Amino acid sequence: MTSQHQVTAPGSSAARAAATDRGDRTSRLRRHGPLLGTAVAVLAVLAAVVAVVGVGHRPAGMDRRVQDVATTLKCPSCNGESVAASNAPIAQSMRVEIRHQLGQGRSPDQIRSWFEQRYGSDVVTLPSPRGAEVLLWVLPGLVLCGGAALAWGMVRRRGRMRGSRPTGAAALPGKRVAVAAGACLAVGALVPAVVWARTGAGQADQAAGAAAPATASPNRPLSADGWAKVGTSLESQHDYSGAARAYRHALSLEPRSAALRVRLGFDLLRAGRPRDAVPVVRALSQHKSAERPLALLVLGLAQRSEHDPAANHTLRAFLKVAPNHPAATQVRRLLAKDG
Amino acid sequence: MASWLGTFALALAFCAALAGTGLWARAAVTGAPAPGRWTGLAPLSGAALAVGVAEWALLTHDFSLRFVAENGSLSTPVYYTVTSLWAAHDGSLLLWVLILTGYLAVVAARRSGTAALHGWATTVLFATTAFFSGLALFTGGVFDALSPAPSNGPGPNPLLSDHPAMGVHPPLLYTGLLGMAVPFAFAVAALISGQVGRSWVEVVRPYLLFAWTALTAGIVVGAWWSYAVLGWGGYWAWDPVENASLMPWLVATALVHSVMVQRRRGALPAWNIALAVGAFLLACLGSFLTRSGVVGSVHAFADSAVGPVLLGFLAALAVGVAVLVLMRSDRLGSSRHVGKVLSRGTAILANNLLLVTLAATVLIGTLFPLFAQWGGGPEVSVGPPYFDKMAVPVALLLLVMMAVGPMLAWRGDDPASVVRRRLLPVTVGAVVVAVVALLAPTGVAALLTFGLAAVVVTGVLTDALGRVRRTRRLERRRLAGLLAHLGVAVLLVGVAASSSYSSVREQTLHPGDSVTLAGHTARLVSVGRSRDARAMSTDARLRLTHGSGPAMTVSPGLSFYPAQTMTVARPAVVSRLSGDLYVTLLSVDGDRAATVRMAVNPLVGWIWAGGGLMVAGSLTALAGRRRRRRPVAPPPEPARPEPAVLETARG
Amino acid sequence: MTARKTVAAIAGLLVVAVAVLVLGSAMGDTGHARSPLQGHKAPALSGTTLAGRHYQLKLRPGKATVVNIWASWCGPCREELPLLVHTLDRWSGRGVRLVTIDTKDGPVAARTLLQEVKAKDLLAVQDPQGQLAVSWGATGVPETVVLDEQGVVRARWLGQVSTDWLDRQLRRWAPA
Repeated sequence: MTSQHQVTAPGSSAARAAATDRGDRTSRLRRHGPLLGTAVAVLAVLAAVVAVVGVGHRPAGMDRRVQDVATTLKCPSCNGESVAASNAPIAQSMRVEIRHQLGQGRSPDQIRSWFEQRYGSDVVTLPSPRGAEVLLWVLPGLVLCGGAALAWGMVRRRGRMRGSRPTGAAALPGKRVAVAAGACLAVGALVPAVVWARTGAGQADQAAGAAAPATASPNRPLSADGWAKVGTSLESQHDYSGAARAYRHALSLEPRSAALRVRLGFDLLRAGRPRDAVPVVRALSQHKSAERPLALLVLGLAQRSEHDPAANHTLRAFLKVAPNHPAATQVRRLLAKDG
Repeated sequence: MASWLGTFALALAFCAALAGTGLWARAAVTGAPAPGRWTGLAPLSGAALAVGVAEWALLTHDFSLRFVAENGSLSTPVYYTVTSLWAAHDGSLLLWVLILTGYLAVVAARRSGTAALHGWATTVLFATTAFFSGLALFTGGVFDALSPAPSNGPGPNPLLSDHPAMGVHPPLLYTGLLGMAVPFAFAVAALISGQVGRSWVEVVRPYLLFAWTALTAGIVVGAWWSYAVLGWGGYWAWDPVENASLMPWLVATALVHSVMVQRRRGALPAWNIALAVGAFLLACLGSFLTRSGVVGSVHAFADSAVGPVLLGFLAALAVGVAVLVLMRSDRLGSSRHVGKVLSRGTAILANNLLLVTLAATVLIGTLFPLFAQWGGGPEVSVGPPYFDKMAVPVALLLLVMMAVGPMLAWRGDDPASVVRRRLLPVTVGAVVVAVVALLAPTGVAALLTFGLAAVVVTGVLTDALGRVRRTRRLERRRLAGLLAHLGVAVLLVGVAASSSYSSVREQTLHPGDSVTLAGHTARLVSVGRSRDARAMSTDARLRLTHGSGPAMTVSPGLSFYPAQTMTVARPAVVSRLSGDLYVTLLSVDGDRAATVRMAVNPLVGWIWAGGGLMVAGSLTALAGRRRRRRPVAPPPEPARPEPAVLETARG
Repeated sequence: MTARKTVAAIAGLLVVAVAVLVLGSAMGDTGHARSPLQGHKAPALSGTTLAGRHYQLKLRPGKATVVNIWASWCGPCREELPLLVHTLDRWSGRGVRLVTIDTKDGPVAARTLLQEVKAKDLLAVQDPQGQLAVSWGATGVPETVVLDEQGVVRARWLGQVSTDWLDRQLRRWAPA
């Protein structure tokens, strides 16, 4: 089946052409009528089926409903995963809680606001239609409408050419290119400068250090945290002198960390260097702190290996401060042996 | 020694890139003959040497290198030692530079396009290479030396040393993202040289297709890897880093289509330039989001200090191109007509509109929490619910375009003819919808997806058969397009089915207990513990049965890595054509109780199959291109008679 | 370039500059997340204690409350418990009580730990599925929350608590 259409040429034949066009159109309609009718009918039936089945469809089953609510919540301590997807213990607990509340008959919105009260507004990933979040729905709409208008304009513009035709390849003069390149470099240098001035390189370091990432910290010599990790890994391989070296590095970066100090002491002790362990933990053992019991333990055991008479005194101090410590029974046995 | 050699290699790459920029810029401005091909090889050899030194250090466990001390370990298997180069930010930057210099070498060596176009494009690429190699040299600490070298290290992040995709996904992704630099470079060259017509588009097409192939493959492999490892079958979480790779892909797909319009009709020159620039800018934005730590993501590198510098680079590119466009606006205004309302050109324009809108939406959603945070308001999260809501209508409309667009004529089609040719596919689609609605009712979006996908598939097949019958052969390019569209339809069916029909159940089991889901039963046999050099693992052995079929044993587990104090889940996935059974071990209580999560994900495999088809399609297009050598000179000035063209009918 | 184009150019560059600066500033922000419950009435706390009795947290005039969330499998919790008990012993005469939530734990392991730290009589409400912890907005263990005598949440500490911090908070919120 063919169809022909002529573009009307300017001139007196316009009227004749227009009439032929109209006649063509009606005959076309008559020819294709049944075809178009079938198409419309098929689509109408399809739309009806989709509407009846699809719109009324609600996910059944508690499991599915829990997942649907969980997808709209963010796990608060798992790097952006949703509660539905995360395997973290807290996400599991949250799913149990969601199931419990759904069972009580609360609506998903109520459950979301319950979590929002406890974890803050950023635990809900479904943007609410209030406040600035309206932009999330409005802006894409604007983009679509603007783009559609542009596109329609381009399609409708039947062959009209705006502006001048490109007359051969006229390259930009070198000076102009230099201007563009200069603008590039200026902006490229300005932006980092501004950001660093505002935040201060020190603060950036602090933030990075505080984040304590699981992977190593980049762009600086190994951080205290990194060295501590090396130490732990060496300990697990029973390389205590290597671990002690690692903890020394860590301490040099974070001299005030009592925890690192105690670990260093432990490793020195286990590496068979009690004499080195003593000065490391001595100061710690004298002041009240969370690490004092362990420091006393290390000090006491180190002094014992050195046959230092102060050992028993230290160990007894340990027992006084931490009578329920896992190592306490062994220490008692040691002291009992000495009489 | 390794430290010195590696730093030297990076410095070589950086200096060669700087020198190359200067040489090629001078040649382009003065019109002198282009510098030799070796200029492109110099940065490449520097980058290759740097990567080689880093890998050698990793493989020989040279802990005197800071990077190896932080990411290497004596107990990591060889494969993961090699891949640990890109497990951390610094090393991945080396891989980035290597791939970029690879592209640079190829572009510098192949004299494609006019001298001006090629010259400026190579200059831009050299400048980009100079930036990134400078970044690696000055901010990257891969080759820093450590004075007392430790005897061992913690090894790479356990999530990144658990699955073979680690060796495939990042290189593919980087190849795809960096490949966008070539169209970008040529677009800028077109602006500078004034040759905004067909020539730059012709030259760019093979690079664009190659990069698109790599990017598609990279994203699909990444989704498959996420699915296999992160638990519960989440192959796409609209995570900021995932979005960062999707946005360039969307724009690149738009560009792949719209270059056809410029080739056939000479239309949309400014639009193509905008797309080419946009794709690369989005790729750089993605790099910034991943490396700067502004967004929390399970895929992001830990907070690194290159954030402001990358942001500056992005701003510099944007401003530079804006200035160029303004200088050239007179030239870009003129364009030819896209086509009539019902023509291939208009369909492609509509396709572009949809893709770009989706890319803009993803961008808005990804950046919104950042802006909200700065604005001082309450902290906002934008997650899957939003993105899914926005993406679904666009995907459906894209299916509609795919059903109708490829068979429209460039000159225009008449509606009745279109309806006639699509009557069969639409009927098939309607039947599919009816059948699915009756047998497995689900929501509107999924039903429409199945129906439209059926229309697309039927349409693709009838078009192919019709063409073969008429012309006795199928053009490679047409076959490529058909395969790619088929792939998209199959992928969307997989996505719709796995999100509509999937079911999940969590339960705590004691040995002997079982949990049933969708006809599958899992019975806990035993809970075991094991230990190796790297991790302490717990496994739950489960016996799976499905109706009367054969039984199967799986052992999902949890591994705790003391060196990084991280627990990684190892789910058990049983894949079949009809779907996957996915079992995750959530927690263990002593040796007696195990909490498992069982999920049934129908038709998930179709997602990977669809991705494979898309890649196959674009590979077909790439392969076909080599045979047709088009002339390199710019096309003669258009002498087409306007507009009184007698349009002949389609048979 | 025409005047209009120049204006357009400047406008465009300004937009880019603003966007970049905004993003850059957002990069510098580290911002502490305040506990969303702060200043509000404490959530409900009821359940079966490790000792087997039922317990419900009720407002007690003249008594501030310290709520601690712990688990026997959590290392820092084990280290923190004796310290906590010791500190609260000091304050018990001054109108402060300690209530703990033992979350996602087995009763046997929990009771064993309490024996070890000689805190057998510690009031520990069992929370096997973690629902209580979630209800209190916990993101991990250990966590400590300080309530004033009206039952309003006043302070929260994530991680192992120190005597210094506890003393400071109790000095502020314990009844005079």
